[in-house]
Amino acid sequence: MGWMKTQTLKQQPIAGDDLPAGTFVPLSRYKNIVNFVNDQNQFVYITSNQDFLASNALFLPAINIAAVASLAISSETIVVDQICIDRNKMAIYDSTMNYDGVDFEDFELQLLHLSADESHLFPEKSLIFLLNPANEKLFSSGFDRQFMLNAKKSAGLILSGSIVKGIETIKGTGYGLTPSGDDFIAGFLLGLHYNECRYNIDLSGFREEIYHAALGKNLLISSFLLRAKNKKYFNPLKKILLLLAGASQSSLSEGLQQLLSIGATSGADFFSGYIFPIKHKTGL
Amino acid sequence: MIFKGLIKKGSYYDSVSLMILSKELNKLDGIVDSSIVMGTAENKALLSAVGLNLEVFHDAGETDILIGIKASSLPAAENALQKIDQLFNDLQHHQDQSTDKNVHSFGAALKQLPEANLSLISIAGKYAAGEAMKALKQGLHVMIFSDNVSIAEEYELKQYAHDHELLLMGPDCGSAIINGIPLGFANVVQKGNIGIVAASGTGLQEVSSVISNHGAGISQAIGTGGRDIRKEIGGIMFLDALKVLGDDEETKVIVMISKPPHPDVLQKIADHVKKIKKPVIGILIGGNPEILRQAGVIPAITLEQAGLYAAAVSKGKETGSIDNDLAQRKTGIVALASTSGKGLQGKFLRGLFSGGTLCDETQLVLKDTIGYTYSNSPLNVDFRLTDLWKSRENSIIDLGEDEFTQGRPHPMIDYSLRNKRILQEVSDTDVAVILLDVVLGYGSHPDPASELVPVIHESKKISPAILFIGSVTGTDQDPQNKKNIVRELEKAGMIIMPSNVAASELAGQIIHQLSSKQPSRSI
Repeated sequence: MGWMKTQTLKQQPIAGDDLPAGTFVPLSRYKNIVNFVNDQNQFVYITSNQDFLASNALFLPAINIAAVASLAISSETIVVDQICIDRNKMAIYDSTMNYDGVDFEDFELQLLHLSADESHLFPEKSLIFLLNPANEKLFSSGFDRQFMLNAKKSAGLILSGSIVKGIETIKGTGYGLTPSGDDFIAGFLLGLHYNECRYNIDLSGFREEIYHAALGKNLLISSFLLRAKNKKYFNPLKKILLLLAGASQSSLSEGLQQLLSIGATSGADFFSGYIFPIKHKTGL
Repeated sequence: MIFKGLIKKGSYYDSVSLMILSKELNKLDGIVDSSIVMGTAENKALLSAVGLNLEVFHDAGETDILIGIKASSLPAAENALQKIDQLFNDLQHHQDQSTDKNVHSFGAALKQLPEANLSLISIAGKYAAGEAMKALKQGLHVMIFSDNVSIAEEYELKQYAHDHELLLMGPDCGSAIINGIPLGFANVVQKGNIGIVAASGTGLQEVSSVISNHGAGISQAIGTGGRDIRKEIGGIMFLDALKVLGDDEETKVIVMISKPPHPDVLQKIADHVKKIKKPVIGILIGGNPEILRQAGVIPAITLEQAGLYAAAVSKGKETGSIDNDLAQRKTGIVALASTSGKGLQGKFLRGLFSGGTLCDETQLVLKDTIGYTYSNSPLNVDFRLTDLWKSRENSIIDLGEDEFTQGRPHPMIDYSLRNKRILQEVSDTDVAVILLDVVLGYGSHPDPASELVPVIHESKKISPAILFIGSVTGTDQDPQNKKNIVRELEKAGMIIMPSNVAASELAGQIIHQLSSKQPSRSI
């Protein structure tokens, strides 16, 4: 039974490809992730699950992350409590996504199929309803309905060309520690990156504008948005995109389930945000 | 209307917990509307639109959690505030425990409770053996909940425990009941004179529940961990547990539960049983019970039968009538299958299990009616699913296996994965029947009906003819209350059978009858 999971010792520690340096203290602890912050308000997290890697994450299989109290990162070493790890001996998580050679038509067809035909797999109250209105019925309380109306208004603004206004409308709204709207925007920024590659255009200025419009006072979310603006892909999303770009259908459902299992609705909101600008060819 | 608000300042809770709390809040009597969201300016604007941006929220920051309540009366609002505060405290307490803030070492734990004589170890597997040895050296019995302890370490620990007359339950021991205290996943059963030794967690739960539900009770239920009966371990703890129960004055009847042990281990168990002067009932799930029969054991074929035999013997009754009753029930199940199967559209069965032993038992039952079934843990290796996330024909899946539980709680606790899988299965037009186990007790989901009922309704929208069959492992004394759970599930249209075996027999019969009606395919 899988009550208490441990990674095997054979697994190699992995460092994200964009780790800030400094001395970090724990900020918040969750089952698979412990967030750390340094005096520059930069965030890093240690994860016990390789699937949750990102550019600012550390996967340390031999360490009980629940008990970690201190973290120091330099260009040469990573020191976790009393344990010093040589960075040269760590594998690197590559957070970039290269769309070269992707059959774009097929990729988009599969992506839209996931949002249309597999929407029942998405958690209730996620923003997938912006792509599949059938999911609207799952919003029941007063706040739910208001949130839904606001998200639809935001989508309407984006579709009518008032993109930054649409982003400002949805940011900071919704459920969870990273509000749904912010997860959606992070996905949206990466969806724009796809459009850049697909249509060979430069939307970097536009991404910058959206990023600034989306910034709030929550530093954790700002850090998350910054990474999306800088085209840094979170592993669960990257994994599913790589599958869409060529792997078998059988592994796709596994990838989707993994992505959708992040947070209450975070993974689903993020993915919805990614698909939205691709579906609507935003930025062209 | 009464509006009340509460702020949890600078608190960090995971999103899933917040969503669960939000659901709990909306269920409370007199609550008309509510919300639990982060205090961003934008969320406050949305709250304003529904009248829930309360004065108390004005100074809240973006990292604060805002809880807004609209209630029909002041007492209802105050009750809800009190309740939500308690739920948050419980959550915080749970998080504190899970992050090991209170006790940082085994030594500190022992200082807090110096009179303890048993240590329950549930930490990352690589540390578990070391902590277990520390506990043994302090003279404590040990239950290791963790998995990923090497077999060499398990042998060393068990040999040490054996030499010092201590019990070492596990590793990967999911269930035990010691002196009436449920450990791990375990049910609230009546106290009695039946002792259980089990190398199977859900097997122990099913048998102890059957015993309790039939008016008998448990003295001790000792889990050994599934690997104890392998050649490398030699059944050290299984044999020691038998000795403990054999010597225990309160124990008058013993039940042994395991998958088929290594032949050498089985022989040792049989030799040991011959020395026990108490009735012993044995079930080797899927194994040949002949060697046990020769040793004087009363062999059972199913977990339910083992429980029923034990309950009868503990009250000085014969077991013959039980076999007659079960045979009669089987006839009834064939008839029930022909009525329940009417109008079904598909032809295949999909079983989605949270209990590993129950999953094995179901496959054994089905083998006799519809043959081998596909599984991630199949009886026949030719029927191993190549893609775990996609069922084939008749498939029985153990969702408690490692591949499904990485990064998420066990499916007895967290139903989300199974719920999604149910919706996936019913979307397949070839599927006629969904078979489920529902395991109650400490450690399991506090209200499985609240998870399953909406999914059953949703499934029927996708596939109106789909049939849900299942069983509920547990007792009316469990925190979830078996009777209530059964009532809720039946109300939703699920057929609940008295045991996993009965549910599997019904599902198998229906599929068998459906396949008999299918036109034969020409080659």
